[in-house]
Amino acid sequence: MKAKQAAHFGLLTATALILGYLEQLVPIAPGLPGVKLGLGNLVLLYSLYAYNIRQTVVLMVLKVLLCSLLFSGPVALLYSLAGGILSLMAMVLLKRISGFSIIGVSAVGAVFHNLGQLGVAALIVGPLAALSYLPILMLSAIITGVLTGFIAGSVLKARNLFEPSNRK
Amino acid sequence: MQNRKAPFWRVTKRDLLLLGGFLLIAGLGAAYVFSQSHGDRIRIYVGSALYQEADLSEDQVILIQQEDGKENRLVIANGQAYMESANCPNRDCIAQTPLGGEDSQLRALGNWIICLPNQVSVELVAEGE
Repeated sequence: MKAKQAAHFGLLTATALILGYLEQLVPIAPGLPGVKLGLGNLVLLYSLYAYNIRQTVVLMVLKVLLCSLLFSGPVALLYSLAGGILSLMAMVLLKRISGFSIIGVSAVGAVFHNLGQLGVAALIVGPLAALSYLPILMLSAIITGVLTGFIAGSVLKARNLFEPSNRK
Repeated sequence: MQNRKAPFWRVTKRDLLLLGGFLLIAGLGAAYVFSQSHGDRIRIYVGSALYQEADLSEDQVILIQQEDGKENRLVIANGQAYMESANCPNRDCIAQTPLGGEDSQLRALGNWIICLPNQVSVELVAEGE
């Protein structure tokens, strides 16, 4: 069981990196940093629902560190880390509140990810400039958050069908 | 547990309320950003300090140089200002649409051109603001 979990964890880390790389290849809004698909959050969502909070935190930190090391460079590290921490905290909290599905959790994660990044941007260029970036960042987070939520939900559903032992 | 409750992948009413709330915030923010007056002067900031002010009616090239080698070239031509070049890694500021004129009515970034890596921001302001 432990070996299996370690293998799964490795797979999830690798998947997060590949999705992070793919995301770099398809910029959906040139000139607007932070407006992106958020595919990496798929893996965190999956981990949060299929495993536990602790593993998801480790996965988030690894994803942020390795992605900035491999693809986006050290400048992006601060943004990704602020976004990652805020996003995961928001997702964990919302998941604990009853009545929200993985779609809501995913959207909240996406929105708070962008808010975290915007917070760092506000420190750099001042709050007014950052504020004018809020609407487009929120809107893109809502759309991509719902999409990734649907995808992660479908993957987890399929996983439950294939592994009846996972159904408690 | 999951068998009795609705499965976690099915959208709930609360999800929709939450999404509606987020959309409302985004909408209010957009209304604020787009209601900002579109003037014909620009202010250039490095970090949060004012670097230079300029008038859009005067064609010129402004070089924004910093001690650590960061450099942006802002061009003002035909009543519009745009970033021509920058030695930052991502060049987002160059891809952003020009400030001033008709193009700046519905810009995603409102009245701003922002180069985050170089900490340079350019704001379109109204006369006397």
